[in-house]
Amino acid sequence: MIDQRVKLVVSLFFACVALTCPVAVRVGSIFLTFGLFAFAAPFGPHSAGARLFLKRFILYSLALTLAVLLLNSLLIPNGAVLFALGPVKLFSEGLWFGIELLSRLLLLSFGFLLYFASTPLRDFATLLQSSKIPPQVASIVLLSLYFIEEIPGRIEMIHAAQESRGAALRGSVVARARAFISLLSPLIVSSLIESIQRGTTLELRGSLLDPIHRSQIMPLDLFSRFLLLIFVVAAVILVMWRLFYAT
Amino acid sequence: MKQRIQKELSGPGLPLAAFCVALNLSAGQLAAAVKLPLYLDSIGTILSAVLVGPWVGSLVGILSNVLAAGLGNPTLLFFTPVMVAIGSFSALAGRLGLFATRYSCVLGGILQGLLCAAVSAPIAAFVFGGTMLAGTDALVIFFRSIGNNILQSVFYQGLSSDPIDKTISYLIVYALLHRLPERIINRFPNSPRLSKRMPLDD
Repeated sequence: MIDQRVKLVVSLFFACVALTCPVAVRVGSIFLTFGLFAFAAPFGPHSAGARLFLKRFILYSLALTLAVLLLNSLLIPNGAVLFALGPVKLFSEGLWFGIELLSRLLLLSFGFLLYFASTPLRDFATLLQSSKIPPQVASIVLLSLYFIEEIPGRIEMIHAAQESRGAALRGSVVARARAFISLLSPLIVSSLIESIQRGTTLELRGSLLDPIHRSQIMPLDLFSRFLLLIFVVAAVILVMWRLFYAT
Repeated sequence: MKQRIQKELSGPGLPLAAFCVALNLSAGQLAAAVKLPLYLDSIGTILSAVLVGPWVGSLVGILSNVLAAGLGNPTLLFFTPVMVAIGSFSALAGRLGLFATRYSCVLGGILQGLLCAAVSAPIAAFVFGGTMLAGTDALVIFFRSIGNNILQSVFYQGLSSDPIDKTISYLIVYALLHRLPERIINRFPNSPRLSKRMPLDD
């Protein structure tokens, strides 16, 4: 099992590759991230939900890749004509420009997903709690996760309540915009009241006082330290190379 | 700075910030429930900045982008400066009384949109080359196809969509602030400023 700090550094390393390396390396690295998702258990999705989300994200990326390549090839009319069908022509410079952009964007996305798809957000919040950032920030992340789970249920409940009292939730855009406010107001009021109660509870329990108890996470073992060092050094080398040697 | 953040996060500030982060990430679901084609991913940032202050507003924006990265949109991490700009400017707009009337609110939304376009254009152009895997990519490609460079194309795309999106977000926050009971508004640090500037009972 690889420590989440190592996974985070691996993600940052792929971000460095996306921002510094030529297009061939970026395309190769995208396939490498696919390989890690599929065959390296520590980088695989941490739950069935994460697996489904990753599958959808990959399909969405593929569809958009095709769309962006096609639009760039059509609308940037420079370079050789690669394909012509009547007045419709695909140009090489537009296609190359699209590949250049997409390779960077997809590598950035898949690089960060290596960490976030394989690590539950609660573990990420624990990492924040144990680091040197203010404990309030970690508390906000943990409470946000609670609200993210709660909000869809509340939206459904308010939607059903408004519908049953005869509020116009369908119709023209203006009617739907009004309906949006009538859904949002009760959601915000109920959540603000809960926020005030929670704030009072946190203050009464002394949760916001210094010094505060911080969560502890396991120290890194020798192998993890070695991996961490390798990826940090490689990322620094890439950035230096880009800044001082690559033109 | 640390003391200012701690002051803003005292009492209901911290849970409000958490709720606003979740609201940024869930407002799209709410819009989808009534079939509105809007993203509205900065309502929470604006609301927290107006009610609590610029530091919490910016913090809500930063954490929203970090969590959005974890929940499926990693490219948003690079647009964190835009969220900081939204948090800071909307707190200023609240202090200047731009949430007092609909018209001043529209002015605030347009100014906020222009600021967002200016901050996001260099990031979108130099980090992503103008492509964001979103519907607005078509606009960027259109502006590029009529002879603009990438930075110009991204900036024009921002100018054509950001003021509209931010004006709608500002108007929604305006409507919310005017519907909230005064006893709730009074629990937040910026309530004296809001009560002085806004006719909350209208």
